[in-house]
Amino acid sequence: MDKIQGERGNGFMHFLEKVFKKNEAMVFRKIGEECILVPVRQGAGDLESIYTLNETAARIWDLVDGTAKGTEIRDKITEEFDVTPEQAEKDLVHHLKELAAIKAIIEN
Amino acid sequence: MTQGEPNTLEIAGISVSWLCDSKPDECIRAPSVPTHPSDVTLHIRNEPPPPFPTKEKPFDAGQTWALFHSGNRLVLQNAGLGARTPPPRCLILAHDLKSGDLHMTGNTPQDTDPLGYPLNQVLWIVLLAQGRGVLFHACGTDDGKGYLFLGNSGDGKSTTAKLLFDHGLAVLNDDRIIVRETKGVFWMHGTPWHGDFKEHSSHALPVDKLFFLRHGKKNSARAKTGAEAVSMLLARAFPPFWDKQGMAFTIEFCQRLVSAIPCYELTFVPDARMIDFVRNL
Repeated sequence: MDKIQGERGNGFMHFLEKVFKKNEAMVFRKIGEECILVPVRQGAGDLESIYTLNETAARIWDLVDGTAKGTEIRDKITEEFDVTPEQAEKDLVHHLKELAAIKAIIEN
Repeated sequence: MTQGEPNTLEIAGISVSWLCDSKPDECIRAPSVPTHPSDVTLHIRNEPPPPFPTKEKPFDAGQTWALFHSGNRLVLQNAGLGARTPPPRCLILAHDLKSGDLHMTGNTPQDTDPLGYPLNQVLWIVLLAQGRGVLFHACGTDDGKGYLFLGNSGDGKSTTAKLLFDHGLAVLNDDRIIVRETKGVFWMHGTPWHGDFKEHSSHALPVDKLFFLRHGKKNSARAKTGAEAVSMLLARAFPPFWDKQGMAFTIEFCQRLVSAIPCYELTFVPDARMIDFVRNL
């Protein structure tokens, strides 16, 4: 989280201008307000990688559609959740980075 | 038995038959022949497999097994893709998975299953993923009610099996259980695979309670639901990680299972008090 806060400013905004799409090699299922993600794999390494997204991350996952910019997703999150735009932005960047790190989303 | 007469192995209601091209006295014999048609019919070929021009969508489990697609066929082999020698067993399945050729080289196995470990379990995982069910890392016991104890190695499945068996409960298996759904009821089936426990049973019964095992200093249980329970189930399952459609079915199956059956994280002390604790939950 510290690392992400340290990137606020131009770099932070630049990140929100990006458009991401879901990785087609990811299997997902909504369960209540949460979401389970499991990557389709080619090897036995890292078989423990089953990811559970909380309500906010699951909604961000929903909204990543290959066309919406980060700023548009941020605005939706701000509308739908009881958070300030700043908090929504911080959460969004955090979750997008995590999803990108596990290759669940790819920059379009 | 004569040459060309099929033998059949049935596990969890899924049957695989095989025909030999070898002399009858060299052919592997199965313990029983079900009365209904087999789900899969295999021809055993005592020769190496033909070369594969392509190996697409591979999954390499390391030294023990691998699978890949070649044309419209699915190939399972009991060696990694990087093995320097040809795999002793190579199963080439037709696109519909209803028939195939099992190529065997080297020593003929002496058991009642021509696939052997691990191809037998991999084939069942492939077949289960077609909407049939899921193989779990679990111990299943029959107390008149079906208790499914899930856990990874060291979590206490064999300890639980021995404890419950010593107190009169039947044990389906202490390490590998298949769960299938029939008309909204989740049935657990014993398998002949793995496990330290030799008194296993191949019968099936409905699952009444499901436990994620953990050793502890006292008997205690915490209910688990929703995504957390599904995630815990998946971590103790043998899903088809290589198959997107099969994986989607597996997750959905686990969701339905945790919605239908009470699930608990169970820490336990391995003595008789655990049995009453489980019964009274």
